[in-house]
Amino acid sequence: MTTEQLGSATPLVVSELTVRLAGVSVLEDVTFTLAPGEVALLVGANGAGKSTLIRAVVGLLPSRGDIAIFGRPNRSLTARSKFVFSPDDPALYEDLTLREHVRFTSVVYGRPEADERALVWLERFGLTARLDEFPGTHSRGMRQKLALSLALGLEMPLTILDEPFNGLDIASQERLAAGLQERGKAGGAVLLTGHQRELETLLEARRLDLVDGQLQA
Amino acid sequence: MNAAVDYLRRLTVVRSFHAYRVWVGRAVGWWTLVYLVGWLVVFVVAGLEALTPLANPVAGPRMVLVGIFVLMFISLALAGRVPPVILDRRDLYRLGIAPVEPWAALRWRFSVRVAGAAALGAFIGLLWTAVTPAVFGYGAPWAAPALALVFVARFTGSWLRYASATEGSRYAGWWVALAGVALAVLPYGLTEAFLSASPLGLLAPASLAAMGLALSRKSLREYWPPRFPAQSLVLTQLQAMRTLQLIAGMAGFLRQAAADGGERRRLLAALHDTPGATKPRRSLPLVAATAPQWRAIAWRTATDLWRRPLLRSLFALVITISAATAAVLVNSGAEGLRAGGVTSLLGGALGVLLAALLTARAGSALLGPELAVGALPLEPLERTLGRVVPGAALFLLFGLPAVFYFGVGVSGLVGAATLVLLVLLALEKYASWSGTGTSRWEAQIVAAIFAALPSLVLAAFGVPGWTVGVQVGVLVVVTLISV
Repeated sequence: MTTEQLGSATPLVVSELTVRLAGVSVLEDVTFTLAPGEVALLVGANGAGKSTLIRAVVGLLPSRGDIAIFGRPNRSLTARSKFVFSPDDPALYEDLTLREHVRFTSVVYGRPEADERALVWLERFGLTARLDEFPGTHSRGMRQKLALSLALGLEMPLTILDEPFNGLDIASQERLAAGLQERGKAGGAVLLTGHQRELETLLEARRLDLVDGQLQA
Repeated sequence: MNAAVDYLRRLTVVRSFHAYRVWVGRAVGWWTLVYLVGWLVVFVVAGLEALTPLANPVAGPRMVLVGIFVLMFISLALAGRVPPVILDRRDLYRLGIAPVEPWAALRWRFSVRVAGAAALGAFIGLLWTAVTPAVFGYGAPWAAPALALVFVARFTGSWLRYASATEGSRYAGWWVALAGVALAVLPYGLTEAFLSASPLGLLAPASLAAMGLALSRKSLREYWPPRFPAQSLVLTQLQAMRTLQLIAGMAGFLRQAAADGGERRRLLAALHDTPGATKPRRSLPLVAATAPQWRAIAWRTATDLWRRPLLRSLFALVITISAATAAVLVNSGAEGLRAGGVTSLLGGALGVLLAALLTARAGSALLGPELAVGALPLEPLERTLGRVVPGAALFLLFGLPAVFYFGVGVSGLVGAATLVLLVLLALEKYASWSGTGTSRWEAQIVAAIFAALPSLVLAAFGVPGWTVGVQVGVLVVVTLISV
């Protein structure tokens, strides 16, 4: 089935995706779809290709095959305005404070209401007192919390998170899992990676097993 | 435990020398190096042979040497903010907190720096030995080892000044500084080896270096200086960042080579414990949540300019005023500029090119931090507008006095404005497209040539009067290019 046939209502359609890096095949003919309201957990051993798959999906890696986000090619502006991506190593602007990150992100994504929601997430993660600080001086976990607050505050139709639970304390992991579940119930699709065993108990998600660059049935 | 450190160093140093030897052999080639060194020797020998003794030799510059050495050791008062030698992260975690004497952990790196200082001193000293017979009429064969020892003493002095907070080393740096100054001034002191052929000239430098080395070792017998581990970590990060950027640049990944965002500034602030490392000292009001995208980016650019340290702001101000004035001047049509001679260049296309180069240099300081569009739902035009508008506004502001002073008409004003905008747009777009970063000369030269192209081409075809119109047309086209 082609991406066009699946129509524009499907958040994510990946069809026969192949990624080769430096002559090595990292992903081979990966095909899957993500329905509205679906939370999918991509699991696999180290080096299985989870992060590569995620990066190819958001258009940050060259790939072969079709990737459509709400029926549009993943690199198109229309597609990019439908999803938010948070990488495993939080990509933050070191020259902006936490509060400034929130405002800047909500304006760049054209979602003024995201401002308030991201601040709520920061409060849930216990970062309200650090709003006027630069993230550069914060720990790995705190940086991760900021990146997740920005992504979750946007409430995009498709949320893509690479290893979002890394570096988080137990309470924050539970809050994040609950938030992702809520996002799914509200109709948003979520694709995330992870390999902690606890994830399976924290999160009710469709499981996508990636083994040596191939998706297992 | 100290023996374990020696064992580790023997292994790692031998392996790293081996790896380096293999790398040089493959990347450069040893025969190439032999060939280059051979030519270097030929040039040096030829240079020395070309030295002819002066008919009236200059008197030995004792007072100049005294002045240099006094300054060298007095400047130790300014040293001590950062360690002159550090442990890398791996050594800090493995050896820095292990039950080994700090000196044992740092000895290898300290010795490498001492050897570096000695080699530099010996090189300069050799030059002195080579030129003294011809210039001053006497021989100074001991200048090389003497200067090597002086440089070693200076280096140990800088370490001791840094380590002054460590128990037992409080005044050691000052002792070395005072001894250095005293020995520089006294007869038969540090200057002796440079003014005579007597080996006694080595006595003072050797004593000073020995004193410095002994005190340095003593400073590391029990404790690290209090801020040493933290500052070592920061300096290691800075070194790693520089190395990665260098490698990325050499490999052609120019975006990685240019992009360090505020990270470098943050690390430097952390290194010196200056305000601004954790919280900004000053902020602009937040951009409205409902603002268009380009305004958010313009706000970020303006915030970056607003938070700059005073010195960098002053530099940006001076160069922006100069560039704005130059842009107005080349479009002023002033009589003097058309008169002929060298000044006519300023009124012609070459003047436009020079003004564009200056504008690009100033623009690089005004475009703010890079912004990779990546997966953001952002049109390149929004990014370009956001980064260019604050700088363009500053150009307008600082160009106005020149407009009134030179009495520029509408045509000249449009010409200057389009030239500045063309440079800024081309610089931003080229830097973003190629990933070079606006601070690199490559991007600035490309932007300047591009902006000056209408003027250069039309002047060559004898229709310079069309320049402003063509510039406006090119500006529209560049604005619409989606990169």
